[in-house]
Amino acid sequence: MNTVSTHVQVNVKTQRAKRTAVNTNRLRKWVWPYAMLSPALVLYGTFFIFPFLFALFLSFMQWNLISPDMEYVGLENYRNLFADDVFWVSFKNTFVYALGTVPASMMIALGLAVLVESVGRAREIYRFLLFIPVVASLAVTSLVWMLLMNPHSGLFNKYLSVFGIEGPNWLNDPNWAMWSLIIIGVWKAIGYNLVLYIAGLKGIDNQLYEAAEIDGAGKWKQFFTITMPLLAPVNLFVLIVSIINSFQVFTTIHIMTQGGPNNATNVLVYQVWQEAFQFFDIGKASALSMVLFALLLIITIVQIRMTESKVHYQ
Amino acid sequence: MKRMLLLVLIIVLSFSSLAACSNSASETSAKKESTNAASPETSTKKPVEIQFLHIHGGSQGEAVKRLVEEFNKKQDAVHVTPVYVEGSYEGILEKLQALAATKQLPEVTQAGFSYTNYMVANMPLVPVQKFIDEEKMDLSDFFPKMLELGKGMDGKIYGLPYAVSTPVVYYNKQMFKEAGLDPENPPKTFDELREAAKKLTKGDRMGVYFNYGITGNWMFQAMTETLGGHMVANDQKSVAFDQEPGIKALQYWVDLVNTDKTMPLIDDKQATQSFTSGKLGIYVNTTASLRGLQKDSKFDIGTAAFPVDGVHPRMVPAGGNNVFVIKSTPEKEKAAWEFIKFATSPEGTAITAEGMGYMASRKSAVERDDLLGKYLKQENPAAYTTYRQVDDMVQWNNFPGKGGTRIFKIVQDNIQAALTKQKTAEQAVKDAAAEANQLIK
Repeated sequence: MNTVSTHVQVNVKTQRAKRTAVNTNRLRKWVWPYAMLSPALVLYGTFFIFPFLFALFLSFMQWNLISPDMEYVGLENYRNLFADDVFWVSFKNTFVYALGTVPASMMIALGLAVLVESVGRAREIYRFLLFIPVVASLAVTSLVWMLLMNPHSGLFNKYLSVFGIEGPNWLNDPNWAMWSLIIIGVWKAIGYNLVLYIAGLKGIDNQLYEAAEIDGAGKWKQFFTITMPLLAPVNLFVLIVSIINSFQVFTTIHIMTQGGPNNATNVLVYQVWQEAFQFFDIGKASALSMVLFALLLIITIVQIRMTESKVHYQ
Repeated sequence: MKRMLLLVLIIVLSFSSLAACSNSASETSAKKESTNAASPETSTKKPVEIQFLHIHGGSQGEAVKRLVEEFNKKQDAVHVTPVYVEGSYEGILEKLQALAATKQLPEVTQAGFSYTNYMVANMPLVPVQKFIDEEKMDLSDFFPKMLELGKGMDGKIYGLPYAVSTPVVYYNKQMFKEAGLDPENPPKTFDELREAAKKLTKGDRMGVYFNYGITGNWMFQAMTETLGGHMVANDQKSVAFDQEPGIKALQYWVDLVNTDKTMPLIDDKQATQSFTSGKLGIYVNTTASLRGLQKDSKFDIGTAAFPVDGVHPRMVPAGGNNVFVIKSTPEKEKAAWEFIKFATSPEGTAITAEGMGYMASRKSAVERDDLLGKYLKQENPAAYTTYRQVDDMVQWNNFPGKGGTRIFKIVQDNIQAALTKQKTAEQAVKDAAAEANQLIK
C-alpha cells in the first residue's frame, strides 16, 4: 500500500520537488548516521588512527622522544629488529604465552560457566568469586603471587613438599618462569571469559534442552549437540579477545620478572616498552609495534575466516 | 567523494567543539585558582607555582611531603607541589620523556646518579652551577664525593645530591644468634660472609641475598670494583668488567647460588618478603631500604659495611639521585633553585635521610645533634653504617655512548644466564662485554 502511494506521488511531483526529496533522502541516509557516529569516530581517530599513523611514521625515524632532531633512517629500524636475537626470543615467547593461556582459560571458563549455571543455590556467590581476579588490581595480586611462588618459603612449594615433591623455582628458573606467568594469565582470564559464556548460555532456548531430553539425549550429548554449536558466536568472540589480550600481557611481566631471567619471559609488548622507555629507541619500538599490529591483524583475519563457516548465529 | 567531505567536516566540527569545551574548562579552573590565591591574605603577589617530580612512594613519600611542607611554610614566594612517579629511576625517566614530548616538564626533578650523563645530554637543564656561581655559594659542607655525582663530563655541576645510598649488609640478629653467629660481629670479608651464609641456611631459611637486580649494574659494580676491577676502561672506549675481578665477582654469586645453595634465586621483591618474614639471614641491599625493612620486620636488624676481599680497598658506588632544575622561565627557574637549596640544606637533607634511610648529603647534618647526630648515634645506629663507608664511595658508573642503558640490560641478562647455569660466569661476562663494546664504539 505504502510503497505504491509513494511511487505514485514521486511520479506526480515536479522535477524540483523530486530533487528536494532526493536531498532529504540523502541527508537522512548520509548525514544523520555520520552525525550519530561522529563522537565515536573522533575518539577512534584521536586514540587509534592518529597514534597508529604516528607510530608508523616514527618507525622510519631515529629519535629518543626528547631531542628536537629526528632522523629519517628508512627501514633500518626493521632491519635492526629482525637482526636482534631478543626480538626472536620475545616473538617465540609471545606465542608460547598465547598458546598456554588461551585454550586453557577458555575451556576452564566454559566448564565453570556450565557448572555455575547448573547449581541452583549460591550461583551469585560463585559468579562473584570467579569474577574477582578480573577486577582485582594486577599490580597488587602480582605481589601476592610472588609471595606464593617464593621458591624457599612460598606456600606453593610448602604444599608440594608435603607430597614429597620438590617444587620448582617458579619465577626465576628459565624453564618455569613462562609457565608461572601462564598460570597467572589463565587465572586472570577465566573470570572474564566466564561472564561471556554465562551470557551465551542464557541466550540458549531451554526448549531445545527439553526436546532433547524427551528424545533421550544425555547431558553430554546435549552439551555437544546443543550448547557448543549455539555458543559458537560467543566462542569466536572469546577466542579473538583472548588472543589479543594474551598478546598484550604486560603488568605481570613488568612486576614479576621484568622479562627475565635472561629474557625467558620477554614478550613483544614488553620489549616495545623496553626499547622505548629503557633504551630510548622510539624508532625501533615503533617498528616493533607495527610488527605486532600486523601479527594481530593477520591472526584475527585468519580466525574469522576459518571459523566463519562454522558459526551459526541464531 | 561528497561522502568523504562530509565526514571530514563532521570530524572537524566535533573537534572544534571538543576544543571549545576544554578551553572553557581550563578557563574556569584558572579563575578558581586566582580567586583562591587572592582570598586568604592581602598579599598582592601570588607565589610562583612549581612542580617537583619524585620517585618516593609509601613511607618515603611521607618524607617528601614533610620536606615540601616545611619549605612552603617557611616562605611565601614559592609554592611547590610534589608529584609522585612510580617505577623508581627508570619510571621517572619514562615519565620525563613523555612529559618532554608533550612539553609539560616539571621545574624540578630527581634522576638517578646512573643517569646523570643521560640527563645532561638530553634534558633541557639549567646547570645549578649557574646559581652557585651567582650566589658564590659555599659548598664545603657537602660530602665532596656526593657533589661529584652531579657533575657533567665538562666538570660543571648540573644537579645537587638529594638522596644518596651505598650498598650495605642487613642481617637478622635473631637468626644470627640461633645459628651460633655473633650478632654484634657481622662478617667483614666475602669469605666470612660465605661461611656465615652456610651456617644460616637451614630448612626453609636461606643464608644471603645480594640484590643484583638493581639496574645500572649497581651491585655488580660494587663487587667488581671492590675486587680491584673497573666497569669501563680508562679511555672510555671499551668495558673493563670482563677482566679477572668482574669474572670473580659473578663467580662468587654463582657459587652462593649453585654450589653452596645459600643464596636463593629470587628477585628483590621476593628477597624483601623473605627477609622481613625471617627466612633470609643476610640481605645485601641499598641503604635506602633501611626504613622500610625496619618497619616491616619484627626482629632486630643489624647493618654492616659492604664486604671486602682483604686485599683491595672497598669501593661502593653511590646510589641515589640528584635534583635538577629544568629550563622554563627565569622566575620559575629561580623558584626551583630556592627549593633545591632548601632540599639540600642541612635541615632539608636531614628530613630526607631520617624519613627514608638514604644518606644526608651534608656533613653538618650528620654531626649536629639537633639534626641527625643523635638519631644516628643513639636512636637508630643501624642507619649510621652507610656513613662509615662514605669515603669509599665512587661514582655510579654511566656507560659511555648513547646505548648506556641498553648495556645495563645486557649485563643483567648475562648475570641471570650465569646464575641459572645457562652459561659459565666467565662466558657470561665475556658475552656481555663483547655486546657492550659493539654499542660503545
